[in-house]
Amino acid sequence: MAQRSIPSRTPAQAIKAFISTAAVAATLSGWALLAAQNRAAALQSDPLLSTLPVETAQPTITAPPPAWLMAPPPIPTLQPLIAVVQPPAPLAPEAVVINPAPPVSANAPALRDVSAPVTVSQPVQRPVPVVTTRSSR
Amino acid sequence: MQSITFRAMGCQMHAFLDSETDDATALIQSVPRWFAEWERILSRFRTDSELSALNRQAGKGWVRVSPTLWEVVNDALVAARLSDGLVTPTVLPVMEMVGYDRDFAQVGNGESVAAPVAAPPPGDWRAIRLDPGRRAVMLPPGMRLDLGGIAKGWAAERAARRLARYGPALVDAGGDIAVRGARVGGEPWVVGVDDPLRPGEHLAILLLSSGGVATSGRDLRRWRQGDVERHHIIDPRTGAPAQTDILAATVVAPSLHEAEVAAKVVMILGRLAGMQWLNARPWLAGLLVTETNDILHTATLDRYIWRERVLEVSHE
Repeated sequence: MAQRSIPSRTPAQAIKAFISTAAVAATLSGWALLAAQNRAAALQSDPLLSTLPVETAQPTITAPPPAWLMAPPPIPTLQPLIAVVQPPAPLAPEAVVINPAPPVSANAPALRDVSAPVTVSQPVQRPVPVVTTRSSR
Repeated sequence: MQSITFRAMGCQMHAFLDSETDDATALIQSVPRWFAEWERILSRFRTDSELSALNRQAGKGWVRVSPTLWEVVNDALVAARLSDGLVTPTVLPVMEMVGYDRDFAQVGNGESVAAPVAAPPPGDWRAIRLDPGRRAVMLPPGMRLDLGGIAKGWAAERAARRLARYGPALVDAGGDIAVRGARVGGEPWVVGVDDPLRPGEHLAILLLSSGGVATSGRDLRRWRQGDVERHHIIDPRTGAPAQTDILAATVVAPSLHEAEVAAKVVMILGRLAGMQWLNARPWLAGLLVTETNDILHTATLDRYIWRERVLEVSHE
């Protein structure tokens, strides 16, 4: 099996890499130097900043919790239901009922819907003849 | 209501009087006696009847007659006039020739009567002469009268009229029925129409408060003469039992006399001409049964016929 070989770097390429690396290093160094100088100048011009402690630990609770937090919350009291479903007050004696419904017979038959005219035969009994007409006998 | 049943004029009779008084009771008991008296005058089967005596005097001059015979002869001539001669009292010779020469109880016993012979044509009813002043009748030579159904109807109407003096009355003379007044309380009399094909069953129910109803038919009074079947409805145009397609005809009329005449006319004319004859007389109501069991009736029968009342309920 053939193995691909890594081509060797030429001198010109090496020089270009060196120049690039050096430029980047010089830039970063310059930025760090300038930042240090700005910080020192700021501390010298503002005294408050120079006296504040640096917070490095968690805060400590020293005050007791408020009373409303320690006490159980109040539970609302339900109103008795009977007070809600009380029957309506009776009509005053002088009240007038408008369009009263007709009285319903106690044994009135149940009505049912029908879809077409209905023919109802009355329970009429066939009358009984007292005589009969016929050819002479 | 009081009633009485008896037999007279060869038929079963019924009389009804819608009254409970003692007078009414006594009166209705008299009805059979009335009919016996009328039969003694009007029967053609009794040689001692006044009618037979009149017949024997045909061609011999005027004969004074009783009020009863006078009235019935007049009724018979009115019937001939109303029917244009189809119902005539002059068919007795024909009736005898075809075998109906004795009471039907003897004729209709199933035995064959004498073989048919040529019957003389019926006499012309217009040849009968009447003298109202003397209450006399003159028959032309050879003419003999049969008052038959006319006499029976007259008797029923006369009896009903007499009874009606004491209350609403109905008299049934062998199926010919006279009615005088609605029953106490205003209810009509209920009259059945016999089904000729199913005797004893009612073809219709009629409600009557006045007038009369009569049925003429060839379903009952028939017999055999030789090989020929005969019946008692004579067609004077042919001088033979009517050749008709009607089995029975029932007519309701303002009087039993009219009902009797009309029923016989329709029988003789047949279904088509008979219905036309009835429809031309709106005061008559008819119900016909044909030999093919068709049932026809005039529109005027609705005035009398009982139907099951039907209540129409509309639904919205």
